[in-house]
Amino acid sequence: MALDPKMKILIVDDMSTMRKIVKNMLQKMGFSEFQEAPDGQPAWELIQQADQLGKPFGLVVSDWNMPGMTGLDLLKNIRSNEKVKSTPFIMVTAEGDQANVIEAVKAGVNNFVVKPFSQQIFEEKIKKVFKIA
Amino acid sequence: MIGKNRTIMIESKEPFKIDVNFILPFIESTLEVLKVTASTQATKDKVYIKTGNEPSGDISAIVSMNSPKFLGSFAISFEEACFLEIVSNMLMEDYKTINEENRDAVGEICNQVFGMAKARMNDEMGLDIAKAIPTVIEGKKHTIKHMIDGKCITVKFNTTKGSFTIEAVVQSLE
Repeated sequence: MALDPKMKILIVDDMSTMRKIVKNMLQKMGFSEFQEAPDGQPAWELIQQADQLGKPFGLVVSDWNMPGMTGLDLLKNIRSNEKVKSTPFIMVTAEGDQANVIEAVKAGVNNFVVKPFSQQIFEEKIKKVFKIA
Repeated sequence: MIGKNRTIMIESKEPFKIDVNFILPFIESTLEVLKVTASTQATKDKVYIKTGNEPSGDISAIVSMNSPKFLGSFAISFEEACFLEIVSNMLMEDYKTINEENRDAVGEICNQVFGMAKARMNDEMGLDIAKAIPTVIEGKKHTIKHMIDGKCITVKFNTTKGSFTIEAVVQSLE
């Protein structure tokens, strides 16, 4: 996996405030192409559409606890679909309990960011997914 | 940390006992969340028991707390000026009014404070508190209706732009 500043990133969170915070942080890192979804179901549809159009997402940054489809169910959908199963996935969540971290790792999350987090922590987590630094 | 001896003074007309291990995670999480997400250094003022339907702030969020050991709810409530300062810092924009673009920040702050305190209490105290999604309440000097009736433990905090409170009502199931 390469960290391409032109890659398309999907931000999934039911709180528009949090989507904006994540987007601001990603923009500071040099990324510029984003799509947003308020929960897992529309996110899953966007992921499938992007794949069909031949321009898959390079990264999904998703909240866990959302009304509708949760971030964990979105992750499971991605990992069980042959076409998109290797999409890098970062869970950004307030659910920092050890049991939750283990559950997400078992489901195939690439990294786990516990809220609240700083720009520096966020960048480190993303770089680790793409094995940079 | 709120004090090395982990004690807390509560202002109450009637005798009231509280497990400090329960309220401290919320106080510490509140300070940490505002520091990290909004570069805001809040200071804890007083801890007291609300005696009736006293108004809270101008914008609030409430979340249920369900555990095999207790039931209840947690809320955070801001005066408008205080909220606008915090949300402006969070979103790096200068907001003069509460609007559709910024109002759910109170839900996100509540979510983060609750999530952080919950993780600590679940991991350290085995309370097994369930995940929950906050609800936003807006209106000048509104009253917060908690999920259950009971004494409302309230903590007031100050910032340079005004004050805010966190509050919780809990009922033991044991």
